[in-house]
This record gives sequence, structure tokens and C-alpha cells, in this order.
Amino acid sequence: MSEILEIIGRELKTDAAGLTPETGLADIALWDSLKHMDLIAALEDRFGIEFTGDEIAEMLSVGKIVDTTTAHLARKG
Amino acid sequence: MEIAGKRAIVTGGAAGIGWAVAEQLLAGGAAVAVLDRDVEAVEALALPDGSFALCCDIADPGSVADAIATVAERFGHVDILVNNAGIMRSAPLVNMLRRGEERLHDLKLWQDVIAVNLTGTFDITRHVADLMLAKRTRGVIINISSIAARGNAGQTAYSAAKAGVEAMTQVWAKELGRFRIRAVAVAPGFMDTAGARDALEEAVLEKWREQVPLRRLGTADEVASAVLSAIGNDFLNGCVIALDGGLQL
Repeated sequence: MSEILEIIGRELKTDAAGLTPETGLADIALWDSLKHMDLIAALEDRFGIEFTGDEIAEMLSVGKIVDTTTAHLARKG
Repeated sequence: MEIAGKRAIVTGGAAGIGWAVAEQLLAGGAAVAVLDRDVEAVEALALPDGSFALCCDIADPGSVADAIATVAERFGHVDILVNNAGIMRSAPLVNMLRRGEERLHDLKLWQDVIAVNLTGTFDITRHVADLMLAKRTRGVIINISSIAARGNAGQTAYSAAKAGVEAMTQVWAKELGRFRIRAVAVAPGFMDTAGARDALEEAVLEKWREQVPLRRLGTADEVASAVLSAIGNDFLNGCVIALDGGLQL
């Protein structure tokens, strides 16, 4: 969980400590479609997982990102 | 990237440089989807099992969408896209041998060249890039540019289109690189191809030969070799490979 937040903070150039599950795309100035691609790639690279296109399009809040990533990691075992 | 076992699309692939690229990909063990708007040429192609040819006009968004849907269905994913389809038309910006409105560079000619060479390349690549991203394919996009991207007198539209293709190559290299998808442009110089012969007089071709330090024109096979080299080098990204016999030195 904390590592996911660290990656979000690093990729979106924001303080991870200030992130809440409700923090969304509209709350972070740098979080645009290109940064979203960077963020997804960073999570996939770090954890060795692959999100689906639908998941990527829905991962628009910190909570959703954490939940989706965690679910992948659980399935990966 | 190893060629063997990969799945490739070559646009404008039924003849000339496109076919030379397709042949070398097939020889390397890739399955190839040849896309071309020339119905007769497509029907005449004899491709090995696993490869196929489709009629596709890359200037027609519906035709492109249909073709990529078919390729996706048959291949499942695409590793290599070679954007070769293009047309070459020449006209001065102002033709001082004519009078009135006829002096001006024909607007339809401009639109046709841009529609195929620039918009067509953009259109098919957005579809294929989406497929590569969805399937997490570490693919490569090869754009056939031209020395004309630096500005060939008498080729405003073609030069602008190819300059645009090189710019798109750099954009895609940056945007897609994070997902290990590369984009490279190969820019042939003066080539001895059917397209060049159709578009230019022999006197022009002879003048070209004299300008090239190697004193000859390039061949379609040499362009294909450059394309395969770019595919094979996984650290090549966002660059333009000039294949011009030293013309720009």
C-alpha cells in the first residue's frame, strides 16, 4: 500500500503523504492522460502486473488505483 | 526484436518498397499482413500460410478501421507496423508558366498528399498503437519518411507530409516508449523505384544520380534492410535513419 502511494506521488510529482483514497485526477494538476500512462507503466513495471484497458480508464482516484493494484497482487499471489 | 515469430503489418505492401519490406520480414520468419489499396496487386500476392493481404485505403478511416479489426482478429496482436503507404505528387507553389488561378499549387493535390502520407499514417498508427497497448506488446512502429522532409523544391505537399511523419515519429517515441513501444523513421534519399519513375522524368533521375556521392540511386531492398535493422535494434527510438548514399553530407 505505502509503495503504491510512493509510486503515485513520484509519478505525479506530489507528496505521497497528502494522498487520500478520494484524491482524484482533478485534484492534482499534473495528472493528465500522459502522466496517467506513466503512472500505469510504473506500477506495472514495479509489480510485474498488467492492467486491462478498462481498469486503466477507471483508475482515476488514489483509492481506485490502490484497490485495483492490490487486487492484481492478490491474484498474483 | 527478433523477427521470427512476430506479426507485422506493412502498408502499401503489395509493391515497391513495401513489398521489399514484406519479403524480408517473411524471409525472417514473421507473419505479415500486407495492406494495399491496389485490389489487383493484393489479389495477385502469393503469401505463405499465416500471412495475408487486405485491400485498404489508408486515406479512408473506415477502410483503416475495418482492416485493423481484421488483422486484430486474425493475428491477435501486432508486433511491427511499417507505415510505408504513400503517394508522391510534385508541383511548384506557383507555376509561372501558367496564368490566373492555374498558377497556384493545386489545393486538391495538397489535400490528397496530406490525406495519404500524413493523415493516413496517423490514422492507422493510432489504431495499431491502441492494440499494442491493450495487448502490452513491446512493438515497433517504422515510418517511411523521405529526404524530402528537409524540403524538396517542387514538392511542398510531399515534403510537409514527410516532415510531419518525422515529427510524429518523435512524439510516438516519447509517448509510447514507457510501454517499450518504439518508433523509428527511415528516410530514403533518391531511390530507383517504380513510384519515383512514375512521378519523375529520366532526366531528373539522372541529375539525382550525379548528386549522390555513391553516384547511384538506392534500391527498395536497401530500404527494407534499413527497416529490418531498425526493427532489430531495441535501443533505436525516435530517430530518423537517413538512407541517402551520403547525399546530405
